[in-house]
Amino acid sequence: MRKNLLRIHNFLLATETFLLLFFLLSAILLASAQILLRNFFDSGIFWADTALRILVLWIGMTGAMFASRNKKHIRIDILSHYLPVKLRDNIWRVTELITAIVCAIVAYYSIEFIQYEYEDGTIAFANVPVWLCQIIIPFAFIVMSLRYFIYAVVPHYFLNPEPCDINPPSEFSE
Amino acid sequence: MSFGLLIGLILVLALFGMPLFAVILSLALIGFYSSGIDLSVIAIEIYRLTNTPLLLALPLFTLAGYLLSHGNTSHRLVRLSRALLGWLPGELVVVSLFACALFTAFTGATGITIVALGALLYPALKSDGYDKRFSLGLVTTSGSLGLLLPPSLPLIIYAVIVQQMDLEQSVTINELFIAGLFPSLLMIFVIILWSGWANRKIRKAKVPFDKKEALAALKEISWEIPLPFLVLGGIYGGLFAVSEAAAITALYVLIIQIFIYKETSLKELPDIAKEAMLIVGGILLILGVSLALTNYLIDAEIPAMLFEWVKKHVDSPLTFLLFLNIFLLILGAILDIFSALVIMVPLIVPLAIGYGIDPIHLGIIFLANMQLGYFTPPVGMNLFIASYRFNKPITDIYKATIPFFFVLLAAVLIITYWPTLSLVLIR
Repeated sequence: MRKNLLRIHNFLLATETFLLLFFLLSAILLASAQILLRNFFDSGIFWADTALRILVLWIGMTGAMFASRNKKHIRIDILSHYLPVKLRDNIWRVTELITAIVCAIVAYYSIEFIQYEYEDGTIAFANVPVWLCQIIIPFAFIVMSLRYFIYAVVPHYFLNPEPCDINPPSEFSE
Repeated sequence: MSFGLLIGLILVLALFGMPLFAVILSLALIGFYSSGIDLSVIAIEIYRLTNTPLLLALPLFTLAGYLLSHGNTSHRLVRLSRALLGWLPGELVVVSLFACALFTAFTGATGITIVALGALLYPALKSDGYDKRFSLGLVTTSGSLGLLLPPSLPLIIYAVIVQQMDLEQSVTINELFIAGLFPSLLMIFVIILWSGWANRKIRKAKVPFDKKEALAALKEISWEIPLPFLVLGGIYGGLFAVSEAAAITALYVLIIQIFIYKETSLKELPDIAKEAMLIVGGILLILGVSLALTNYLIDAEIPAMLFEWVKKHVDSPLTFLLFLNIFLLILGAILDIFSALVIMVPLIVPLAIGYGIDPIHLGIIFLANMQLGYFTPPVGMNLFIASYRFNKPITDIYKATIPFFFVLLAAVLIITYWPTLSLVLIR
């Protein structure tokens, strides 16, 4: 049972990575193709610019999901160094819990918003409706909400502990 | 009054490490809720991120920067600069400054410069006879030096935020990049002056120019040589829009790193992309949610109230700039640059315009101060990164950077009170 759950867990994490890479590479290729077409062939893909701007949103929201994997969201955090470890951990439980609740509220209301857009049926580009472009917003907030909820319950549980040698974490401290 | 209490609680939790996007979101949610606005407005505001074509530059330049710092670009860059400038007295300082500025501009000042270049430059500086403390200070300080040069991400973010504000005067990213040129050179120049003075006793044996080594170094880096030209030439020469330069740069770096230098394998690509996009995602999320908060603040006429209040206490533009300097320094020491931009720019820009300060000049002032904030004790981010990277106690890093802090502070004051330096090429 546990093994299978772990397998599903890893599969989902891999899917997240795959999607991120897919959005990123599509953005690079689409933008480059657009430049080539415009400068050398005097033409262009007429929906490319809109699609690119939406891809940025998708890359951003997927990236934000990644940041919540390892608690790498930007924090100010100037006081917690002065606290005893136990008190600090308990305060962090509170901050993560509030974060989870806030994300849940935003997810709930963005679903409501997308329902209106769905009924409107506006087209964003090519044949893609606007609501489909927006769906990443509630999705990312649901995922982040769940992750922060886990941190609130089990503070030292890291969903995907991986060494990071390129960049020190943003909440970097001694 | 219970809303006030709640806001207070959130702000206190922010100081104890609540994720910043959640802090901003809670404030926006409380604001909208208390004025009876449907909360789905938050999603609308986040979706406004798709209104700005310029934002595409953010993930693409960041990816390119991460790929470059993953490979051996930093080695090649230092080797070439040394081969070309080795005959100069104090060449290593000059090499360090220019290499760091270039690298920081490309990697968006997230502390990578210290990690990637510091490890190369610090031992080299020491073996050239520079004193330990000076070398440490130089490397830590240089880690934030290229902030005003293209394709600096903070400058792009500043442009995006200001463009969302519907000012009478347009602010384009190209103007900002041109405005940042002289201030950047000034900062490099004052550090070179200070270094010459601080190390006046060091007599280094003259190294004659070695043509063979220069050619070899040039050959090794030949695939990366076009990059600065692509970006700087493209932007300064008006050939590409910034987001286009970003796309071409990302594609080009991907190709040379994976297929030509072979320093990154296809298998490593997902991990590098993940690391880079995690930063981008964090920034974009904060940008998106702060669009919502700003919108609420403007609805509630907070910037106007703020202006009235400040106007009562500060009468001349010069005093305003002085307070701005002090405020931004403190801000830069406790907040990372992206959060500081996103939170403060919507409030400060209307104020500054009220005092007759050009929004482009303001952007340069803002970032120049933030750059100093990176190594302002006690909590400047680069101080911690340097302490970790060079395995030195943080107090050693404080001592090493203090003289540089004052030297650059002088430069920042010149940049602040002499607008012509920033605006001469555009106005």
